[in-house]
Order: sequence, then structure tokens, then C-alpha cells
Amino acid sequence: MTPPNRPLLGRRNFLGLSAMALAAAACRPSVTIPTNNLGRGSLRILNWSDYIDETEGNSPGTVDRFNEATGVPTTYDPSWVGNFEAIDDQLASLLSGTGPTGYDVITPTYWLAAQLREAELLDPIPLALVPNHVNVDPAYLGLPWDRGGRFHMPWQVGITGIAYNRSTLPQGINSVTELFALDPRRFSIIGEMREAVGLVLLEQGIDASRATADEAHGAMDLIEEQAARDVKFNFGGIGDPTSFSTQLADGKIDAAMAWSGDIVQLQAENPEIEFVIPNEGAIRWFDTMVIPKGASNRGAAAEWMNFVYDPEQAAQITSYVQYISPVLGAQEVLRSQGQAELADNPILFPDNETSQRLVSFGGPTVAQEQQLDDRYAEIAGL
Amino acid sequence: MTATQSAPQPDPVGRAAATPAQTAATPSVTTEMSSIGRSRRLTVGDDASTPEVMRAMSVLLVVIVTAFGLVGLVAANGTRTATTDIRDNAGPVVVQAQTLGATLAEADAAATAAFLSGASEDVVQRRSYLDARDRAVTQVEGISALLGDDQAAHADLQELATQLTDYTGRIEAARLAGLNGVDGAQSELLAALAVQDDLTVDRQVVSARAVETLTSRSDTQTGALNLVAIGLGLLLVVVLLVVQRWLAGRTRRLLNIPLVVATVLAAGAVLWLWTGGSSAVSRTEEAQTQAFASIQNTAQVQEFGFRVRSLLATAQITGEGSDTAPLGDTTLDGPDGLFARLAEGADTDDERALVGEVVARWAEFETAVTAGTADLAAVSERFNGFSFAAEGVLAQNQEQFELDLDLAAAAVERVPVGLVALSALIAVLVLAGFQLRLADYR
Repeated sequence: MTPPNRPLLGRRNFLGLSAMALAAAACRPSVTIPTNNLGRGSLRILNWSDYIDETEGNSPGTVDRFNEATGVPTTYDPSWVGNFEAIDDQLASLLSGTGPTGYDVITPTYWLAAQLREAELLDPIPLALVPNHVNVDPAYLGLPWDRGGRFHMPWQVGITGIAYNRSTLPQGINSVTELFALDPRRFSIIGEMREAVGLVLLEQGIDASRATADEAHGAMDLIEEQAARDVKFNFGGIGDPTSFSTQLADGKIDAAMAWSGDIVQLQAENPEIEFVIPNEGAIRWFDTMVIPKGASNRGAAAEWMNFVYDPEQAAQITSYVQYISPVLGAQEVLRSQGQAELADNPILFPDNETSQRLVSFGGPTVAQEQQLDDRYAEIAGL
Repeated sequence: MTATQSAPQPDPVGRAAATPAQTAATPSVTTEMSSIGRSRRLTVGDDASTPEVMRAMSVLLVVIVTAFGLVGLVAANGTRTATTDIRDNAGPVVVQAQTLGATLAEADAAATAAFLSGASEDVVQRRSYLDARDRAVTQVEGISALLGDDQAAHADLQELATQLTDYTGRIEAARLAGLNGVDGAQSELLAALAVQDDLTVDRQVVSARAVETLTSRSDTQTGALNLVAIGLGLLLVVVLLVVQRWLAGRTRRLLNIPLVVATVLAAGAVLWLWTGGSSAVSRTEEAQTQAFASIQNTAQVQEFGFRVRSLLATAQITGEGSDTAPLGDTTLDGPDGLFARLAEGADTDDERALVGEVVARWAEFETAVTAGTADLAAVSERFNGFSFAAEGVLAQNQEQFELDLDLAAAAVERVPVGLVALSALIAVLVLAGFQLRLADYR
């Protein structure tokens, strides 16, 4: 079972989502993008790879269960390889104003969803068709860019913390400072700017959810120092030789900034790999389902969201991908199914004390974040 | 002796002079024309006044067009100014003033909940308080920027801003004392809550004045001048029709194309002026009676919900009062409660779904409280669900309110310039139309 793959591809020139959206808004698109389609004829979903339980033998996966329950012909496309890559590829027509994406549901990371929302490139979710919206974890309803969750419903939530090999680091690693003190050839830094910078900010005692741009750049200075020591930058993906997961499993590194779900999966065969939330806190991120503007089948999209927000279905997905479910009730279902190991795993279902130490990166404006993205790409060689 | 009977005079160019008999046999031109009919009485000399009448008519029409254009311009501009002001200032102020109440209550509830967590502060609640506090400050600044030169409104807002500064200062003092286990933390918090009550009153004053301003702006969207302009426009159309009928009678040319076009344009201009103004007024009214009414109801739901939470938390802090009694208040969920009003005002399926979610999440919060759970975080989580769902309803209605005002402003945006342009064009067509007929007399 491979965790969601977020491989590191070549860094492209990022024009800036806001700039592109402004340009799109200024130009009259050659194709009118309708916004009132409550079509339910079919459904096209775009998601990251390995992010859903698949059909195995007689056990139907979520997509097949959805087809059976609703009769909606569904195409599930797991070709979202990265947020920046999607901006250049699957989202290009939407951003340039030339036409819709061709998908009814896409799953960007929260910060990209926020930028799409700000650029008015998302259609509202037809909530009248989503009674299970009441199961959205309130933690994801109060986001400043979508108060009330009218435009997004989280798919899965992850934690970026520190993973290390207990057998080579018996003393453990509990902070970014301890991580950075290691031999630079023996640890890696996550390739996602918001997660790496966020962890360093927390280490510095700064609330990463309310950081200023200056504070973020200050944190990046420390990361730059590590880059000067030739530290690697990477992403997750078991099976990908460059990923932190594979490098840890192969013993090429002893520690890494890492994603919780990847490590939980890795632990099944590598029990010596530990995942910790640093003393000062860790970064919470999530990928979220949104309806891109002009989607042909908003009704079907709503049915899909309603389906996966049924705690029974959500529990199935969580038991496969082993990231944090944003669906209230999923934990109870897992427990009732005798999957206490998952239900009681604080990485999958953080308790209050753990939640207190989880923060989503925020504070800088969109323009400032783009500057941070550009600088980080240079530092990390992305 | 008549002209026809005078002695024949030699023709200067040598033609033979007409004999009396010949002259008698040749009727005068006038006579000949009169035998054909009135419509062909175009002889020079006898109807020399017709071109003058035409010129006079054209002048009259140009005067009427000019008057219509000028009065229409002033009237349409007045409508546009009032409508634009509602969209850009008065409208946003009433919305901000309403949502400020919910924001202040949110800050209060979060601060109280954070305080309640004691020395190991609930970071999530602390963050919620800081977010709400910052939002309140931004909203106050936003309202101030929109108030223009309304000194009385600025004074009200200044009073509120002062109280807000006092409140946030006391909250920080209470927090620090609580974190450090210093005496006086509780009394500082209770003092802050007392300031919050003053803030509520101040906010209501700001809100009431904002609603008053919005109403008075709405009253100025159309007035007597619009009626005068429309009257002049109708007069123009009528005169154009009469003139064309007269010209047709005089010249046997039924259609004067420039004047026909001028008439159509004049009618169109009058219609545009009238429908533009009506549309602006009706859209503004719709914004006020539907979307804004829902915004008010939602803000009240939020405010009340936060008050309940604050009371519950205060009871826990002070040990006085019941820690569940505030839930017995039926202001929210009674038969004529705020929830019922909110549901009544929901006018789309999605809004109704959101309202239903607000009610459901409030019920979950009530259940968590009455179950006597010691897990304050779980109670807070349930409350946040209710609060954020209410924000969804608020955001939806805010968007609708802004859309209605945008449409109102769009209905009159181009009318002033358009009227001037049309009037000028009509004047040119009038002159051209008369020139065509006047050319027959040359």
C-alpha cells in the first residue's frame, strides 16, 4: 500500500496564482464558464495518487461503492502530482479563463484552495445535497477564506513532524534544533515551504498560524543555512527512491521532516521508525475537495462529498490511507469495527493535548507567500 | 383694371406679349394649385410662413431636448450617486456594524474559554480570541473608512474603539495574571466582561445610525427631479409625434426618417431613465428587506450563542450561577425564536441547508454541555461548529446583499452619460429632419 505520492518535480516559474487570476478576470474568456450546472450525469474526480481505498478482490473500493450506491458513472483520476504542477497543467485553462478544468471535484492542498477561492475560481458546494456536511470537523469550518465551509470539504489531514530511526538515533529527536544538529548527510528537510518554515517558526516560539512575512523569512534563513550544508529536500512516497520514506527505510538517512500518514504506513514493516510531534508543535495541513468553477456536474460532486462524509465510508478510507479523517464519527466507526489500533492512534486521531500543538501555517498575504515560495524553491533547488 | 387685364407690355427678350385673351386663358399658378388641394399649397409667396414655422418648431424641439437632457442628467446622476453610495458606503457599514457584534461576542467567548483552561492555556481558544480581536479592530477601521464626514457616526465609533481598547487590555491583564497565578485575574476578567456589555451598547448605537443612514440614502435615490425629467421626456415624444403629423400634412411625405428615429430614441431614453431608476430602487429595497434582514438575524443568532457560552464559562469561573441554565433561554430555539426567523428568511435550498446545520450543531453543543462533560475542548469544538456554520449563513447573505447592491448600481451606472449622448443625438436628428423639409422650399 503506497501512501499518497507528492513527488518533487522540477520547479517551474510560478507566475503567481493571484496574478493569473487577475489576468483571467481582466480578459473576456473565449469560453463562457457556466456556474449553475447541478448536473448529475457523471462525475470526474481529480486526486493525488494512492489517496483512496481501491477495490481488492470482492471488496469494493470507495469509488465502486459510490457507483453502486448512486448509479453515477464516475471517473477517478489520481494524476494530481503536485500543487504547482497542477497550476501549470490541470488548472491551466481555468486560470487563463479559457475554459473549465473538465473535472467536477479536485483536491488541492488548503493553501491553493484558499487562493482559488480568493480568485473566485471555485463554485459553491450545493449544500442542500450534502446533509453530511454536518459531519465536517469544526476545525475546518472556520478558515478565514471560507467561513462555514461553503466551498470546500477536507479530504484528508496530515501532520508534518519529525521521523527518525530509533535504532540509529536511540536518544531520539524531539525538536528541529536537534534535527539540524545532525550530520547534514543523515537527515532531510521537507520540500513544502509552509511545512518546513512552519516547523522552524514553532521552534522559535512563533505562532506559525499568525506569522509575519519577516518572521517567515527569518525562519527560512535557518533553513538556508542547512541548505548550505548540502542537506537534502524531499517529499513522501514509499517506493520513490528520493522520498523521505524510502530513504529512512533504506537507512540512507536517520531522520527527516516527514508526513504522518507516510510514516504510519512505513511503521508496519519498519517498526524502528518513530514519528514525533516536536515539543514546540507541528504543522497540520490538509488536502481538500473543491468544485472548480464551471464544473458540469456540481450535483454529482455534491453526492460524492456527501458519500465520503458518511462516517462509515470515511472510516474505510482512513483505514487505507492512514491520514487524519476530517469526518466526525469516523473514529467511533473504526472502534466499533474492532480497529482500536487505528482509532486510538494519536497520529490518526489526535487527542486534545496533541491538537493543541498542531498549527496550520498562515499569516502572510498571498503575494508574500508567493515570494516565500520562490525563495524556498531557490534554497531547496526545486 | 386687374393685372390680367392690363395692356400687354413688350417682352424684354422679344417674346410676343401675351394678349388679354391669352392671359385670361391662363389661370394663375395660385388658382391652379388650389384646384388640386391643400396638400400641394407649396407656392412661394402665399405660404412663406411654413419654413418659419418649421424653424420655430425645430428650435422648440431642441429646447425641449436640451431641457430633458439637462434635467435627466441631474436626476439620473442623483440616483446614481445615491445608489453608488449605498453600494460602496452605507450598505457595507450596516453589514460591518452587524457582524462586528458577532465578532466581539466571539472574542469574548474565546477569551473566557481560554481563561477557563487555567495555567495550561487552551492554545486553540487563545488563537480564536486573537483572530476575533484582530477582526474586530479591522472591522472598526473599515467602518470608520466608510463613514465619510458623518461626524456624529465617527463620534459613536470612537467611543466604541475606546471601549474595545479598554476591553482587550483587561483581557490581556486577566490572561497574564491567570497564567502566572497572580491574584486579581478573575476580577480583571469580570471587569473585561462588564466592558463587553458597554461595547454591546456602543455597537448597537453604531448599527442603528448606520441603518438610519442607509434608509435616508435610499430615500434620495429618486425624487421630484426624476419625475420632471420623465415628464419632459414624454413631452418631447408627444411634440415629436405632433410635429411629424403636421409635417406629413404639409408635405405629403409621411415619413421623416430623422424625426422618426429621434422619436424612437426619445421614447427609449425616457424608458431607460424610468426603468433604471426603478430597478435601482427595487434592487436596493430587496437587498435591505431580504439579504440584510437575514444578516441581522444571523448576527443576532451568533451574538446570542456567544453570550450563552460566555455565561456558561463565567459561571464555571466564578462558581456562581448555573452552568447549564443559560441553555434554557428560548431566544434561539423557541417557537418564535431566532432560529425560526432565520429559517423563515432562507430563500434558497442551500441557505436552508446551512440554517439546518446551524440548528443541528447548536443542539450538539447543548448536548455536550448538559451531559456535564469535563472535556472543555470537546464542548468548545461543538460550539465552534455552531458558530462557523452560522458564519456560512452570514457569508451567503452578505454575498447576496452585495450582489443586489451591485445590480442596483449597474442599473443606473451609464444612464447620466447615456441621456446626454441620446439628447445630443436627438437634437441633431431633429435639426436634420427639419433641414430635409426646409430644403423643399429652396
